[in-house]
Amino acid sequence: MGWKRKTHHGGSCHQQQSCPSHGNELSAIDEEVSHLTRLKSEPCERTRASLHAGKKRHISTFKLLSGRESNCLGIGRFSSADCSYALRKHLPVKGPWCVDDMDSEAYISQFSADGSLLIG
Amino acid sequence: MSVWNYVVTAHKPTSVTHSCVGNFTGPNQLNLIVAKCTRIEIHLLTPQGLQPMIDVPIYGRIATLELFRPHNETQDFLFIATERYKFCVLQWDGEKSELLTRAMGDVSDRIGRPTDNGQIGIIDPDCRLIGLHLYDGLFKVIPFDNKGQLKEAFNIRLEELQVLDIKFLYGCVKPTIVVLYQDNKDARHVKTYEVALKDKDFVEGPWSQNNLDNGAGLLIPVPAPLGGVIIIGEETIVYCNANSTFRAIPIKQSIIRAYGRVDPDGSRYLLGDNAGILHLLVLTHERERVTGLKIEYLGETSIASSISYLDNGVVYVGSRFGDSQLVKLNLQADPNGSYVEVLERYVNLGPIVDFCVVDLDRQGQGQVVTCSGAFKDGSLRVVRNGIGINEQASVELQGIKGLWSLKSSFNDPYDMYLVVSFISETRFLAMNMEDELEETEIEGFDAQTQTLFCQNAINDLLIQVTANSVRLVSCTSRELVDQWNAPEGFSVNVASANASQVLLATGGGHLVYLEIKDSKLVEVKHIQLEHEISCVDLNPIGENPQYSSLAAVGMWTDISVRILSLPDLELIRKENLGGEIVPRSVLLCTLEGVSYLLCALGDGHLFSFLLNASTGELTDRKKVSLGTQPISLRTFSSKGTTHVFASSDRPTVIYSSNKKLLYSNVNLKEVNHMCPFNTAAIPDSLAIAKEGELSIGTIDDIQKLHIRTIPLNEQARRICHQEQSRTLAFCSFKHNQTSIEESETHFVRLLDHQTFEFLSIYQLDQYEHGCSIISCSFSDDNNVYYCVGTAYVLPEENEPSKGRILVFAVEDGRLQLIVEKETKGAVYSLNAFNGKLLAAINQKIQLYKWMLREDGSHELQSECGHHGHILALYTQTRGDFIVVGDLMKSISLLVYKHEESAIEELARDYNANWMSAVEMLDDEIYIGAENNYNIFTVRKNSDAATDEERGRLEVVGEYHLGEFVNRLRHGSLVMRLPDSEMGQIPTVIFGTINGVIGIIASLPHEQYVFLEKLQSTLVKFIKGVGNLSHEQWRSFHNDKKTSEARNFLDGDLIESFLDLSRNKMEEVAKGMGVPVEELSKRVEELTRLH
Repeated sequence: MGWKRKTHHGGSCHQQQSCPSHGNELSAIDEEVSHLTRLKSEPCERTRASLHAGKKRHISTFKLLSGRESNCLGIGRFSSADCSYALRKHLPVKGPWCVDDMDSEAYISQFSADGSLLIG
Repeated sequence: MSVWNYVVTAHKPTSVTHSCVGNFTGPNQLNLIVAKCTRIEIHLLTPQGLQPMIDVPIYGRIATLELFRPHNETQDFLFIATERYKFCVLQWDGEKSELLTRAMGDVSDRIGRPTDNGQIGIIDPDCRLIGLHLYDGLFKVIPFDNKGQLKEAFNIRLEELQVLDIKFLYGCVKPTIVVLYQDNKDARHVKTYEVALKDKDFVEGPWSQNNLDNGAGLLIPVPAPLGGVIIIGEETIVYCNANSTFRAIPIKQSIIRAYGRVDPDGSRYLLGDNAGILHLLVLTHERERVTGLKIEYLGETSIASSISYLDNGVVYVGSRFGDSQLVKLNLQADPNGSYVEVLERYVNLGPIVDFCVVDLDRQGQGQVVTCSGAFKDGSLRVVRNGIGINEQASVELQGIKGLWSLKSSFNDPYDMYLVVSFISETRFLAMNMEDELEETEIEGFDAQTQTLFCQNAINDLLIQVTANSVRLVSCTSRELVDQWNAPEGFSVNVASANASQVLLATGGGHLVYLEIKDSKLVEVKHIQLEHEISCVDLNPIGENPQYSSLAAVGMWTDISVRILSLPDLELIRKENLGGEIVPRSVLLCTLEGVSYLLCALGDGHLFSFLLNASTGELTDRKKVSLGTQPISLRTFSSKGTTHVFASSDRPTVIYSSNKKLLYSNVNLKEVNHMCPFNTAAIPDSLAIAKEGELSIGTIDDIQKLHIRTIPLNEQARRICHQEQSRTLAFCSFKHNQTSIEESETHFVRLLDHQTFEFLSIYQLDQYEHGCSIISCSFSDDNNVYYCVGTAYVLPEENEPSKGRILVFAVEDGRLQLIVEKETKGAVYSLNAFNGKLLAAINQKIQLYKWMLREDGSHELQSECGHHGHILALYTQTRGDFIVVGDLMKSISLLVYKHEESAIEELARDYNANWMSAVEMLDDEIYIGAENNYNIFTVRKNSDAATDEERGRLEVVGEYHLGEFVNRLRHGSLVMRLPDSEMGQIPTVIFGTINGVIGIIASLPHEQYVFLEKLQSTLVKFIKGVGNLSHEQWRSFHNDKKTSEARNFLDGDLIESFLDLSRNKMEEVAKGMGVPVEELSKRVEELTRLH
């Protein structure tokens, strides 16, 4: 039986906030990132207005599909944000979980089509 | 094999996305320009109304349409931007009456997130620059130079991430925009920016306004000297300007997205909301200062997507959800309190949410019945190819050899007599005082022989031509006035006459020309031609409607058609027709002011020539096939316009549209003879002789596709035809709007399939939506049922978790609920499958069998299923195979294994296509339409060597349709003729949200290769409007990739070959190495697919 190798998984790096202006900058960036994330993953205002969805009311995928087929969304198709929103229910939320635990490091790769190269 | 497909439009897009008004075609001409997604129409406003001038396709989906006038120009230019970031500037060439491309370009960027709220394209009122908002956070500027030419574009970073609208302000020293935006806390504000052209940046603008109506979504800039901007919210309308003027007015909650300015000074605006209500917004002002806002109700229109004020209270209302309208704003309200009078309706089939194909006559030709429109403007539309005859009366008569109508006097506006010719006699029918046809006599006519020709003539005379004589009969006394007798041994074979002339052909090639002078028949000229004469005509086409200076003669033996001058019968032109088939009918006619010679052969082919009425010159020879039997040609009038009826085994109406000859089949099987029979009782009617029957009827409007509208005032979502019960059933819903909340009521409705009379209704539960409907029967049960799939759409659920399958029988014209089965999700699709019912329920495919219970009733029992989809939205079946269109996982192929009672996946397409429709073209090729307006085909690889390859559906065709397809169904709009090659080509019909009905035809490979070469040749000869590229337009394009179109042909481009001038046609044919007539014939045959 060989030696079982212990691996360091690293720890969090705690960094002190140096000054108030630094905090304000972070706050502004956070707000913009948050805004952009919402823009990319929630239906736009035109979609909401056309489906008579209020500010915070969620829209079911069924309603999105019904709006799309009726040309209610304005541009006639799902935008990328609409797609993200429609899929929110279908993304995995439980996990990740362990698939395999080995005593040695594992490499994932495959051979090229003609078998002459191992591509990492 | 259906790998090679031909995509063609049968019905153009009719959903209006943009419209604008200006002086585009001339400084003093007012034009309405309408964009319908991929087409633009230019109309001219005249005292008679809107006159269409041009209708052209654009190689792109139009995102922006703006008219503008650079400095020192007398006419407006047109700016068009497409959704794929191409733009062009068009101007009108008055001399050639065509569009010129003044500028074009590409404004796409490699970085940036495409905006979801809709692209914005605006032009500075002083024409200093064009502004485009295409990507979040970026504002693109295309500056103009002093001469109105476009300079290099640049981007300015825009701090506002969520832009709702941008407009240029009027009267600003520097170009100034106003931006309506939403911040990260969902509050809405407006801010102004000046565009500093030299610095290529924004400068803070003169004013801003924070915390507007939370539903604010539209800006309306107000012209100087008032200036400022109007902000349209859901509950408030606000006016503000640089002078800190702020005026607000509350409105009833509504979503206003369309407006039109009424006055050049900007004091009045028309506003259209999502309920189709039209309001007038007035800016009250004193000496260039706005003092208040006032809003007045005007009436109801279609739900407006664009409003264009034309002139004198006439407004164009363009709609995406219903018919577009031309309305008049009256000064006085009608009894309903409306000031709106509808002057004209322009059909809009969009959005086509679903359709079914109904083959009532079992001839292979389907009527398409669509669920069209949305909200209150929902309707069913019945779309049929070809011209219908509405039969009013008929009588059994065998052996009819000819038909003519006669008036009781020359100047009488209506016909009175119908002359029916048989092989050895002639009979006369007349309209009596009770407007009924009864048999009568015309004493001066020879009733004991076959009539060859009949005609009203000048001096109140009637002409009858028989084999032995030409008789002149008085209209008043009906007695013989004069007679010409054929010489012994030279009987008359064919004849033609008009009001004052008679042309006879006897055996031996003799032509005899008579004229009516002083109520006498005078033989003017007699010649002998070298061959027998097969047909003659001398219908006047010049300025004198009673006298022709030309005659047309068709010949045996040398198979020619000749133009002779009158009165001296001199040969002007001889046209060899080629081949061995004798011409059997010639016709001189004028359609839409253009003169033609039409010549029909004994095998059903028709030649057409342009005819110079002064010189007799023949040009622009074309040949089409109208059938397989001899054709008889006759002119008739419908609604004041002259058309030609071709009687044969495939009766056809030949008509002119935009000075081009078009052919539309008549929905009758075989017509031997026909004549117009315009009576006071039935104006513009026709008399038609079929085998064994004479009938009188009126004719539909002359156009290719006929559309009948059944208004619903609610939205139909799914429709199905059941032949056995002669009914149609559809799912629909009515939108109920109260001031507090929105709700919908959903129904299943039953209609008679011919009269479209409402027969029965079934109301679904609260929150229950109809999602699918089919007609099906089950194993061991002879009944036919409607099966309806539903979903309970509860407000708080992400996805419906409950639905029902309802099984109805039609009994005594009523829907009877037989069985209901609860499901654990929305029943998005239903199919009849192996005597069972296949349902797509959320992420699962479920198979139900129809089980007989002990008490004699039936129930649906689950047999097996398959899961692994995101949402299984669309299913089609063929034998044991099931094709599933998924919300985002493209197409998968399942198979049902009978022995194991199991459904397994065989293969899938691993692309992430967001599907909108699927169909199986054949056993191995499946077609899908997806979210980015593309269509593609995949192939099952049953013969592949490895499991992995067999498990993958190979993509074999890709094409950018430019339209969002909601439904694909097998079927045909035209009669499938078993003796025709084109009749063997399988076709699929598709319907889109812009109202397009299109055909996808699977071609043999050899034909595909030929047409592909034609398409690439045509691309060189036909430039797209604005010099936009056809190849780029048709490239398959989604968020992840763009690739060249393959294995699909653009039928619209190919069939535009027939619109080319003869010279250009010959150039294209030369490039193809094919004779132009052969090429025309092959393309003409394709037009008969739709």
